[in-house]
Amino acid sequence: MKKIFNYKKSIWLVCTLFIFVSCEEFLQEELLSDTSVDFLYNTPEGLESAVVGLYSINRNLYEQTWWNGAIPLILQSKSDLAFNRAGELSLFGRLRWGVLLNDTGTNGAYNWYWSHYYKMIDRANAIIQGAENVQGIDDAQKNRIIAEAKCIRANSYFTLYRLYNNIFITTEPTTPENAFDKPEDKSSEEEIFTLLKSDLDFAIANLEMTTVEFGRWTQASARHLRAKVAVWQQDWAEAATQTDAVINSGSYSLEPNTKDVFKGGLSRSETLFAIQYERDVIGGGGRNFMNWSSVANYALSPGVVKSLDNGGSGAGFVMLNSYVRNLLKEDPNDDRDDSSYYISYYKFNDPATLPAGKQVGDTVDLYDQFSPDQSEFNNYYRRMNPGVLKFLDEEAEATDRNHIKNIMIYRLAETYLIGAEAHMMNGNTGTALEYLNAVRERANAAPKTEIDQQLILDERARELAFEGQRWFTLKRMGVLTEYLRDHMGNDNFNQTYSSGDPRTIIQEHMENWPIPESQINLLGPNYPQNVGY
Amino acid sequence: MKSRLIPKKVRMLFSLFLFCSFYIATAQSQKTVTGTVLSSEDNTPLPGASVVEKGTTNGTSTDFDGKFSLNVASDATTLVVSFIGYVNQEVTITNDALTITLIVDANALQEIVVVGYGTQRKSNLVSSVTSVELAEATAIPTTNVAEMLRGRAAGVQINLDDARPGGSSDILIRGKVSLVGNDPLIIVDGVPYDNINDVTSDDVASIEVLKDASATAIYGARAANGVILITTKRGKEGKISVDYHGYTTTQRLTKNFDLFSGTEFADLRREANRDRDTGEFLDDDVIFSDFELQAIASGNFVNWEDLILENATLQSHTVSVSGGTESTKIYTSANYFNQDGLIPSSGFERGTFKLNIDQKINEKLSIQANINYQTSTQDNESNSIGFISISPLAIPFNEDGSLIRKPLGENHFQINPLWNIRESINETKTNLTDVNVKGTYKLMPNLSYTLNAFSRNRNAEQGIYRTSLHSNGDEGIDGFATLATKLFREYLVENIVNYNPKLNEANNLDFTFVHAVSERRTNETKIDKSGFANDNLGFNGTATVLLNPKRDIVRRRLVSFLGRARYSYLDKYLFEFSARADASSVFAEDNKWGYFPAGAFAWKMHEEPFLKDSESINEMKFRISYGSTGNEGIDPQESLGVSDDLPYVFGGVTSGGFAASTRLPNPNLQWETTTTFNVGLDFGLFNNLFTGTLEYYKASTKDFLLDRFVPGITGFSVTRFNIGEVENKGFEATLNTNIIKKEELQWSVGLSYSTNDNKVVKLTGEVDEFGVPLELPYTGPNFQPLRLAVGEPINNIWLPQFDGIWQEGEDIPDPLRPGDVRVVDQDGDGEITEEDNIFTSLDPDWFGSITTTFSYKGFDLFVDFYIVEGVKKRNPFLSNGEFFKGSINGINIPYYTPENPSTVYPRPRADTASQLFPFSIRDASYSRLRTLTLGYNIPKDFISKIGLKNAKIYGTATNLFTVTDYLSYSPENNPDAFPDAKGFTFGVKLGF
Repeated sequence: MKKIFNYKKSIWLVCTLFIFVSCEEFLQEELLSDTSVDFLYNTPEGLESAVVGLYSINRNLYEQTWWNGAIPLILQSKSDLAFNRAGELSLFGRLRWGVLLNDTGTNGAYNWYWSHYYKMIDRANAIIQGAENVQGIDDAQKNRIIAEAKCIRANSYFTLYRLYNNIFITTEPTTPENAFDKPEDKSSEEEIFTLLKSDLDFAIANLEMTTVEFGRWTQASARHLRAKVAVWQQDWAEAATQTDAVINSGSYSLEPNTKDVFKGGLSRSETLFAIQYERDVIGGGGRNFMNWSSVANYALSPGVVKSLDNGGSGAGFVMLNSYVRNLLKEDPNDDRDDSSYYISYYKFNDPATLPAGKQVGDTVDLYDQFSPDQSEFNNYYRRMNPGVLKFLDEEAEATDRNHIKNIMIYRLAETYLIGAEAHMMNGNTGTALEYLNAVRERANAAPKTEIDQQLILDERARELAFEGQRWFTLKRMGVLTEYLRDHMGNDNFNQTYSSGDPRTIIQEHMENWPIPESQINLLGPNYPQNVGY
Repeated sequence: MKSRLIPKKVRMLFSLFLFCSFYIATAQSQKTVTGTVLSSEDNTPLPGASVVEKGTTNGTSTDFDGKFSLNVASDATTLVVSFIGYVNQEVTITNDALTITLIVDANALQEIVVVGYGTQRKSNLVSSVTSVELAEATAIPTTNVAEMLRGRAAGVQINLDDARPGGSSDILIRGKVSLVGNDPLIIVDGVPYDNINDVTSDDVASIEVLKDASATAIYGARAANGVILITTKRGKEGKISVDYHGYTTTQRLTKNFDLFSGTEFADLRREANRDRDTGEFLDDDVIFSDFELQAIASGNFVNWEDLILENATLQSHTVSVSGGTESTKIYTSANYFNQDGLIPSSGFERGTFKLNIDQKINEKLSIQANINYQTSTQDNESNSIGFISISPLAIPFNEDGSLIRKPLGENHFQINPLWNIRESINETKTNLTDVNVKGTYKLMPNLSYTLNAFSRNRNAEQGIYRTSLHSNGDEGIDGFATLATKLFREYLVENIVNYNPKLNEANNLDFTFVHAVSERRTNETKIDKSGFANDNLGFNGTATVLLNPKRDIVRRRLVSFLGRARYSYLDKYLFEFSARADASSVFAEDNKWGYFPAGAFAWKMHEEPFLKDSESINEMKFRISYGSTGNEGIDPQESLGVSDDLPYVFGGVTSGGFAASTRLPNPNLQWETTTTFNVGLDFGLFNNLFTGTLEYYKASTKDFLLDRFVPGITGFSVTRFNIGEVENKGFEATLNTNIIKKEELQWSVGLSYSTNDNKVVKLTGEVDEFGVPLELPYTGPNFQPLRLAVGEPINNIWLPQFDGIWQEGEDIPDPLRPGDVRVVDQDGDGEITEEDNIFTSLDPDWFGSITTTFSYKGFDLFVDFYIVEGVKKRNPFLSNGEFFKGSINGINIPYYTPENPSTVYPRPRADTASQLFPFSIRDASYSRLRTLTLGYNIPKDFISKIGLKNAKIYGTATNLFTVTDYLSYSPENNPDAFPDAKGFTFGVKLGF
């Protein structure tokens, strides 16, 4: 080996490597297996999938299984129709959690809701801005993308406003540069409603009445939401126009039988907007515990094992209270509590452990709700209390608490009841009664001959309980505190709460959720917390 | 390593001796003495040892077989034998051939230590470098190399991360300087390792820990958390030697708490459901299921811990071969390691092969090749074991001994953990191949160029299968599998130039220049499968449903230039300067480059005339250094906008969906820089009876990389920022005393002590209306909300202060009752809010170790105590509301009852008790007898008959006892972690 050769070679090697690495390219950071945000909001293909992403974020709320799946049912727990028996979820309705600026419920759940809806809003803002600037997209596609994003933005802002009251709205997407521009004040009600209305009006103008892709926002669901925005502002004429447009569109109709409304995948003429799931499919979404939370743990009774006929797997955290059960009993023929929307009685089905004198198929009647003995009524509530079947996944194993089933958000029955209220307020009692009775007659209940706010609230309770609208409706009518004070929970059980009877804890300011302390600390120093916290 | 210093000295001595011998030979009558010099360490011959006739300059040095022959004056009586790193020995001359065994000098000041890109005489170190005593370190039976460092070096804190077989520990050198990774840089034979456990302990020749900036700055990037240098064994010139080391260990559970028994658990449930005002109990049939009532009546209770945990064994066998000629030297070894876990079905099995070759091609060119191959299988137990929490009111077995799936009754969701263990496979098979080639070419005698090329490939394949009977795979899922592969590739190319200009005797100077390029890339692929026709093939079977496909590629690249100059004057005043420039791909476009300079000075006072002849002061060296290092520990892509994959279904049909992830990109991310000031004093006193080191340091981390909460209204949750400043300062002391240092009897005691004080100096700079700096919430692991505040440590818990238990008759605020947890109302406003939270540091006040080594003839005894003081930890088993409701089992504590009002433990209650988190912050200080080893070297004359060169048997007890108040299986782990074990080892070392 010649010396000079090695010498040269080494030098050559050093030089090459120096040159090679001087390249900036080598240090350039690039995404190797992720989609870049640039692509997402600046190309037509990217924007299409960004809209799909919005639906996926929206669904995320129902897939939270921490705290035994409490998150998606908080508004149900907090309504005047709920009996809060046990579990983290019940703590919201019992006013133990979510009543202070920084209690566990506020820090956990309210913080989650706040971030969740604002996240959807920011991504919708990015889509709307991106679609307006993107090249090479035809107007129809562009407007549909913007319309869907605006529906989701409006629904999110409307939800935030109704929960937290003091909210800040923007249509600017967040950037690293503006992320720390802290708002100093909430947005005014006028600003909020101007945006809600313009977003929804745009959607109504640019979306078809129906969609072949079941689960997307349509003109019908946009109009339904527009009507809800209108009644919040007591714009009865607008609400009547929007509900009439959906009801008379010819594309939607009430399901003839209450038993079928929540059956299967909900893809039926009554459904306006539903969260979409599909078992064992990519993008099919995760499980929820909503059914498990709201059906009694009936299988603890002798003679009963878990079965789908009895409502599948149930823990009985939050179920129907006596107030709504009595409303349902008002008309003995009303079939909504006959195991269609709600299950009133569980049935013996296990011959091996039947108590003496009972037959398979008999109604379980082992415990007394009104017994003075706490042990006795505890057993009633845990094992026999009527539950909700609106979330039941008929394909789940009877013992499995993990349910994967489409979740109803907006349906035509509510459109009818909003329409009834709007027409009543407009003095158009005939149409009001027609709409109200359409819902009643479908449930086999006798038609009403007169109508007032109480009757509308009662009908809404019977028809829509546990669909997440009740708390908002009472708040809109200004009767939330009053109704909670009169009806929440069940008397004898309320008195066993060591934290106190929620009917005495309830206060006016709780009509607004507190803005979680961790969130308000990140806003401007003068940003207003809701009064009372 | 030790031999590298020798040639120059030996040459000098040798020529001197030759001359002297010649002179003496002509003057006096003579006799010839012959003999062999051996090392006490492994009884191998010591080539190059010096043998001198006492009181004269007549001498020689030993040959390659350790043999010597010396002509001495006929009346000479004594020889002095010496060798660097060994204690000098005087030997009486006899007529027979002498066998002289030199004892290793534990405080060998002339020891060579490995420093970044080179070596250094220990006496000439100017920076803070700790050499780990290898025999002490490798005394514990594990593949977890980090655990071997525990207590072995001051300032190095080890925290048990995962006690399972094949598990790991976190290494923290001089406190947390960062939130984005505090792992030190691991360098093995000159190349970076991403996992310290990829080193086999039998292959290790030395471990050095570099702590201050002047030592680590040469590694610039990634060196902010210190550097651990590991050198593996290499072949030596001489006869081929074959060694065997084998051991087997029995592992047993170590614990300091009990679970509630069946009756105690029933009482807990009854107490929890008792009326808090009237004290009345509810009927048993309300609070217990029929199943539980039967269990209570029959007295059939289960201790799940006893049922599940089993003693487990571990074994290791290593064979190594070493030897070489002048031009070719080889060391090679093979190791087999197999460890079972305390939880059945868990375990770790590994085979490793190592080959280190040194080849001299000609006078100018030499090549070094290091090859490392490993294959391992890690078996993890099923998920959902949680045996501590399962109710003891249970029936785990049928009468025929078969397992019952639902041990708490058909209506309870609990699945028998033994059932799930039986129905689960979770194995990870990993292959690792490292190839490292270094070519060194001497351009001139004092100028050399080295090309260092390294490639690492680690392929890991994981298969998880939960059968159709497992709780994750039943109820219509028909078996659930996860398949995952992870390919890790790394390469490194370094051009190293060493220049050592010869000045003169008084001035010594050398330069090192390095240019380096490296890339690390991980490709990960994963998919879930379900709907198996049968369980026969496990995760390899055919599934009908494929879900959650995942592909993830992460890449990081680094380009570096560095230079170092070392200068010494009269071997008394030592100077060192280094500078490094690093560019990392993970930072933002315009902020890739970071610059890290360092300088150090040391003064060897004992070389000064006024101390040179001191009897009491053998060494006294003062060191001072200042310099900076960088941290690039963030994940790639944080300066870019990344989307989350969010597919959806419309009418059952999948559509691809995405949205920007909740991590807001920061296009201005840059290096986090830690600047360290260090002063140290190395001393050797009273003929090296005491040796040790004292050190003080102060490290300040600027441009702190921090995850900062973004207001929720932005739609994002966090972003990474360079914000604020964190300071670590501490004191370290190491003291060794060689109480007895004789050939047959040696006794030494070592102490090490470290403190570190960590605090935030500056945050965003924003202040509130009173001018107080704003506290900064940030996200910890698993999105845990944490908080930083100026003046407080990084590693903290921010909660109210536990203040005992409310007692009957006290003024208790509603709705609390006697027996509830009381916390301090700091602001006295009568309400417990965030204003009442205080910061509790989770760092220890100090930690240290006490070791002693005692050897007498063939016996040696090593004892190691490890102490951690003033550390707090939150025990989640004490804050579980379900436990205080009596719905799950847990740690047996004497809880409050009206009859026995505890002032320490709260009262069980049917709804979730408040302030359990403050209550669960507990003192986790401990002292532990980590290692107790007794070894016996079987006498030479006995074993030489059976062809052995040396033989040693030993027994080791690990984690023999622990003193702590923290209720867990190990004070460093919570009870839900894989339980730590104590071990009893028997081992054999043989040399052929």
